[in-house]
Amino acid sequence: MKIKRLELRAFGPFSERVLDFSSERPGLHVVYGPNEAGKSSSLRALQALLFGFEKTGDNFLHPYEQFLVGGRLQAGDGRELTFFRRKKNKNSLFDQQDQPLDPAALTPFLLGLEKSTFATLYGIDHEGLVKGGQSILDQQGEVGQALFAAGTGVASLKAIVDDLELESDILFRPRGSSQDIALELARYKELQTQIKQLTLSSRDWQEHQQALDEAAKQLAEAHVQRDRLNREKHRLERLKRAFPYLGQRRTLLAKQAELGEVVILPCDFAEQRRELEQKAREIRNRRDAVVSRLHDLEEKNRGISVNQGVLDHAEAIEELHQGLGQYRKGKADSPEREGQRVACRSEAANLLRQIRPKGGLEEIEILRPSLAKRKTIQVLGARQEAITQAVRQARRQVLVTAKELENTGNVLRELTTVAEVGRLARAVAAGQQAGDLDREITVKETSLAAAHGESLMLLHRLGLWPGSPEQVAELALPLSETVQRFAEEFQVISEQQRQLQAERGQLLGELSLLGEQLQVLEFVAEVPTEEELGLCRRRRDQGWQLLRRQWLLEEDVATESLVYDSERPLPEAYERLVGVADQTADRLYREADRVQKHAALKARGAGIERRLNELSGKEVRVEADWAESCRRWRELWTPCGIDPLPPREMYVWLSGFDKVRFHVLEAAKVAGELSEQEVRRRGLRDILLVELAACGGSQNFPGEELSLLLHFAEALVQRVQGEVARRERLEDKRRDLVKAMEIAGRDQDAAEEELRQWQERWEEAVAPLGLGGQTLPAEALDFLDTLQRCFDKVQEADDFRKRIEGIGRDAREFEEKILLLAQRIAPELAGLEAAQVVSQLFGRLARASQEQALLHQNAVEIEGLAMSCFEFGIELADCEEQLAVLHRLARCTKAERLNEVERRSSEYLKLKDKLAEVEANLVRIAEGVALADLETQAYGLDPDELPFRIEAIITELEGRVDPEIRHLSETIGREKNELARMDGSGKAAELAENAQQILARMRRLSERYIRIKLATRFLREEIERYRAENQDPVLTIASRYFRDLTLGSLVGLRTDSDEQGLPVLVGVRRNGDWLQVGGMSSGTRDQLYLSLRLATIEWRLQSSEPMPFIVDDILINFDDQRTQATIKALADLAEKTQVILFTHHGQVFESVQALQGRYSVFAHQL
Amino acid sequence: MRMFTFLHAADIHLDSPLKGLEAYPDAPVEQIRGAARRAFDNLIDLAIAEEVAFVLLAGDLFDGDWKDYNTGLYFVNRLGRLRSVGIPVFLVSGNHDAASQITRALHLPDNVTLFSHKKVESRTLEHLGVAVHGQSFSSRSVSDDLARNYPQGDPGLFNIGLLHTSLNGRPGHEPYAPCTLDGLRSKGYQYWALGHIHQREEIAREPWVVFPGNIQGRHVRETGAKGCTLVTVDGGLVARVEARELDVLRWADCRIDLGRCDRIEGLLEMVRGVFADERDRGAGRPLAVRLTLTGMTALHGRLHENSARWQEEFRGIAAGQGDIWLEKILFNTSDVSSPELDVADDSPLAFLQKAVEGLPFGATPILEVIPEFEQLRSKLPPELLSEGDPFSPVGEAMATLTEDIKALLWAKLHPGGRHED
Repeated sequence: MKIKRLELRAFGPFSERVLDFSSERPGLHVVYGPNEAGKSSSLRALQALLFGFEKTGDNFLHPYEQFLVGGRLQAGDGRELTFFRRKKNKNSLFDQQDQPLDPAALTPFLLGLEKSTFATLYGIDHEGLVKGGQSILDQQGEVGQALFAAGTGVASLKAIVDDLELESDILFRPRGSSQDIALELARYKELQTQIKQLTLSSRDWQEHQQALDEAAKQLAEAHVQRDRLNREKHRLERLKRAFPYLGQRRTLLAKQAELGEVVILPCDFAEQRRELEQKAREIRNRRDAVVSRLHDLEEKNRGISVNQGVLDHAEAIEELHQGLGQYRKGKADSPEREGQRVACRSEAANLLRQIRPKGGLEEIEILRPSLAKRKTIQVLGARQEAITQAVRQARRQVLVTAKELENTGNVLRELTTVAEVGRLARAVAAGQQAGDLDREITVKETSLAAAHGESLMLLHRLGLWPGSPEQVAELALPLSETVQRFAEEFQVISEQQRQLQAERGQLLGELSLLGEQLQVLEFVAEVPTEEELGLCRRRRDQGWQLLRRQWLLEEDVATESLVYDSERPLPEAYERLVGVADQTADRLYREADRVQKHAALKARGAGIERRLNELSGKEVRVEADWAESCRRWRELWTPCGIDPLPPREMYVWLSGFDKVRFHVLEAAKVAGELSEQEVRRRGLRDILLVELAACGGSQNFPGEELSLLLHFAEALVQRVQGEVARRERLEDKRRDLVKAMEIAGRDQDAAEEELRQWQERWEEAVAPLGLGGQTLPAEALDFLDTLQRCFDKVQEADDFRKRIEGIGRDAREFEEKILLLAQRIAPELAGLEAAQVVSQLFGRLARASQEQALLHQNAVEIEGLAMSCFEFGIELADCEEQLAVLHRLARCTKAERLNEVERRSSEYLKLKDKLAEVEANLVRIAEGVALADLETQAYGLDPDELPFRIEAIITELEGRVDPEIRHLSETIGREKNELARMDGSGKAAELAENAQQILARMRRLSERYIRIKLATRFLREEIERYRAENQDPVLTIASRYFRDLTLGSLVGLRTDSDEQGLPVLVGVRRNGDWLQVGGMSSGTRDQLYLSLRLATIEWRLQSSEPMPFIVDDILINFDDQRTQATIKALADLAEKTQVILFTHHGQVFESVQALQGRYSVFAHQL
Repeated sequence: MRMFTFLHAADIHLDSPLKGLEAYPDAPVEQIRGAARRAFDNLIDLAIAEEVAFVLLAGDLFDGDWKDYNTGLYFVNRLGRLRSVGIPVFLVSGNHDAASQITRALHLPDNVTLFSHKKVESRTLEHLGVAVHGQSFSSRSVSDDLARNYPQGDPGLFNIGLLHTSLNGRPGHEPYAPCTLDGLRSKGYQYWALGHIHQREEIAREPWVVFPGNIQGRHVRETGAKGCTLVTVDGGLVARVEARELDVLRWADCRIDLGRCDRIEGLLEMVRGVFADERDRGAGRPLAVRLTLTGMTALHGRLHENSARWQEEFRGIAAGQGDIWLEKILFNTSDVSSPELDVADDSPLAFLQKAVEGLPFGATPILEVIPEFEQLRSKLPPELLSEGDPFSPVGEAMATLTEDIKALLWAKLHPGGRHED
């Protein structure tokens, strides 16, 4: 890609500024702007054009919303794109027509590079240059890193790698204990311990519960005992209180006995007696007054007389007085009734003439019987219409039915015959009952395959066991408890090994320390020993013996002395040995400390050696244990054919295997069901095919599926069944029609017969009226109505006649009755008119009634007085009877003795009261115990003994029973406390929650660790790969650039190896010497980095499309010569790819101008 | 028959710790403490407040490997509360209970019926006209169809089958005591109270076959409302079935698609919105949230370069909204620019990227690539390894590992980051 034009329409200090980078060859374009002229702004504008605006301080002239930059790019294939960019969050790209442009339009030019990637790969600034140089020094010229850094533009690669390693070290180190993950592990373990401590085992709880139950039982027993003792104590105390009262009671009973037999009178006896005597006196006085009044009344009654005759007929007189009105009215009515009777007779005669013009009223009775036929005529007349209608109806029915019968017969003849499908229908029903077998089978097959696949996958993931899922079920695996036991066993042994190793290490350390100390001692001077002294002395004594033999015994000892000391004559040798012995003895004495220390060190050394030997023994044993455990561990797994991993991992493995087993069992079950269903489906299908063939519906049905076949058969059965049903319906209908035809014929005959019978009866009924058979029913009825009205009028005239006769009879009877009564009770009135007689008699009756009433009133009073008199008599007798009773009660007949009897009774009662009082006290003390029981309990009891017995019980209670109860109560309290402490607390659960939180953190840290480690590894591998592939070509190109940039003071680059054998970069001096990067100046290192970067870009041009290389003022610290050299190097590169250099150094600008003509360089001034 | 209600719960897993939550300074540690117990307390309170006729617990009361008898004492204490108000409880033990030491030593109050593990038993509540049939697990893994031996329902009673089962299998759950819906239907019961599956599910309504789910989610795979089922029976028929929430902490798996988002402010706003939504959904309960960012976005690079910084940022948002615990953040985004063109093909960076994308190393397990891994792995607790071995990543974990390593290297190799934040 090439940038052909950059337009700074509105950005930073620029308005409508254009930079034209178009040139035939790529070329080096230098954009020069002194300070404040906008060099940096123009660089940012270029970045903004390609990748979008960011918030920078470039809005001092144009506000953000007016920012506008534009440009033209040319891709490797010659395509060009002119576009503009504004500062917007979305749709910031525009074409030349100011239409929004899809950002994807830039992709062919930028090759999808992001800003940062572009900047690192195809950009360099002063800071990057310095960092790159520094990094080369930091990594001591390591070729891979240097090439990679230059290849990616990542300047500080060393720091990155270090950073990654530092973070992974902070997270975890295999033997570290202060790393993050290790700390979390420790916290997790600590929490697990705490949880274990807080966890309440079921057994603990049960033990305390049992102890509580036991104590409660004993407590109940103690309470029973205490209650028993308390009761006894209470009983004795009660007896103690009751003793005085019991004595009193006995005395009172004795006094009562002394009184002997006493008539006990009621308390109110005397008073009652006096009241009765007083009452008797009063009654007698009142009786006398009543008798006197009675006599007066009897005298008055004798003076009154009554007219008894009138009174005796009082009822008859009153009856006649009442009938007087009726009698007078009858006399007045008679003539009016006679007139009415005559009118009725003449009306009747008129009516008769209407129906029988000839004949008079006298013949009317001949017609009366014909009225009896009225009902018959009415009924027959009403039936006529119905019968005629029925005949018509019956005839029509016969015709209709005959026509329908004919139609049905025709249809039936046209129907065809059909096949028998009963067996096929049963087969179809069986198929339907089986449900959607096809679908179930398909589902089962799919799930079987899935389950099988799942098992296989799980098994494969688990590894270790080569068997197939089919064998999973039978595989007998060790129990997880066994595996755990092994894990602990291995842990114990490895712990022992570790201890032994540690001890060995410590001992070896001590031993080597001892060796050093010994060496130090011996280094100062040889340390004299007792043995040396002994040896010296023996040698000296040997010499003395030889000397003595020579000197005193004068023996020839020449040969022996030569043996003794071949170099010196005997005396000299002896003398030397004496000196040596003395010296040794002296040193032993003088250097006793050193000697002793030496000896002690030796002894300790020997001790440590012994201990080491012992350790070796132990190690062998532990090793044997380990081997044994390993053997047993492997043996455990041998039956399963598994070469086991360590137990901890096998524990996890086992749980994984459990899952596999579960899936396998599931799959087996599904497979069984599947084959069962398939067999069933095949059976159903065979039956259906046979039956279809039998029905002639045979057809070819490929495949195993049931449903298609089933549907075909089902449709066939339905069609045939439909036809059969239709035929049955038609035949039923024909049978019904034949039956209906018969009935219709019968109905017609019956209706016509009925009509004939009616005609006969009608003629018979109207004949007595003198009417013919053709007479209509309505006419006959009119005749009868007129006749009836005629009869009614005759009857009315007759009634009037009877009433006139009645009135006359009643008047005569009334007058006779009056006459008869007057003759009997008042003959003197005989001559008077009947009405007057009645009035006279009525007046006499009223007077007699008044006198009789007075007489009756007096008789009533007399009766009342006589009654009172009788009642007083009874009352008096009653009083006297009661007095007699009192006498009988006192068992004395004489009134004088009565007073004595009353006194004795009173005394007895006082004694009784006292006794009751004493007994009341006793009852209170007895607290419900019967007195007799109390007496019995007190009998034979010594009152003086009671206090002691009570005391003994108190002692028993307080000394033994109560403390026991207290003790048991405390036990119960304690156990309850214990149980209460086991309060269902959630502390362990809370800690478990905390543990989960730590697990979560541990997981996060572990995942982070994994990522960092893997990232580091990828990075290192890539660095190495890149180095291996690019080292030679890139270094060749870089050598050239380096030589140019260093103005030939270094002629090239080579690779060397460092102490670890890693390839490192070195510079080659003119004289062929190699210069390590550590020995280069910082400027040279910067040039080395720049050489590598330029070489990388040039090398990359071989394989990929060129991209512009954007250089931002890297020449700040270069001297003139090197600046010149660098620009030349850039211009070299610019022959192959576009290079844009931004600078604010005028000298750079001038150097560029100087190169124009020779190189393809262009200067742009802002 | 009169109207009554009963509660149906299962998979209590008392004192089972919440998994995967790493404590950090602003995390609501106190708010979630003892969540399993508090959820169970909620169950007891609900039973008392609703005056239910009885309570059904369909297995897995305790975690199989939890040994603290205090958990059992706590359980008995809470059942005692139900006893004091005269509410009977019917239990069957599940696979976890069968493995638990606590279950064996438990002294249950007399209002509690624990069904035998040897045979099916039936209990009748005459005054309600109810028969409960049940059988416990005899061992940790029962592969027989227990339902097969359940008796036919008494047509004169309201029959309830209490059963711990995986039914015809549910993903993520071991297939214990498998049975079929048709098998359950054939018994003529009115309600099947099932347990074992931690996600609530109404399997059928004729008759009712219900998994109430567990009462408290324990890890990020158990998201959403958790609780029990309140059943109203009227005239011998199920009149109403309601899910009631009991959980005190809710898990949420929030996925944000950044496909349309290319600005950090937008991202933060989306995260804030998702957290607020989840809090509303949980009715103010503390939340444990896994945040997964997906989609093709221009923010991809910025998110991956400095994931630690974003983690802090999101935790800050979580803390600002109240009791939200950010369990994990997964950056599963991809870049808008096609990644294969990201780097010029022959540059070392391209090779590095390709090498990382080549993970895993053919047939060689990661564990063997770097010797220190084996040493670390041997020190880690087995509990950590059994929950997805970080040294043997598969599927999405492997993809995440690759992406993380790429991001890590990228961040290191581009000093100062590729973006100004």
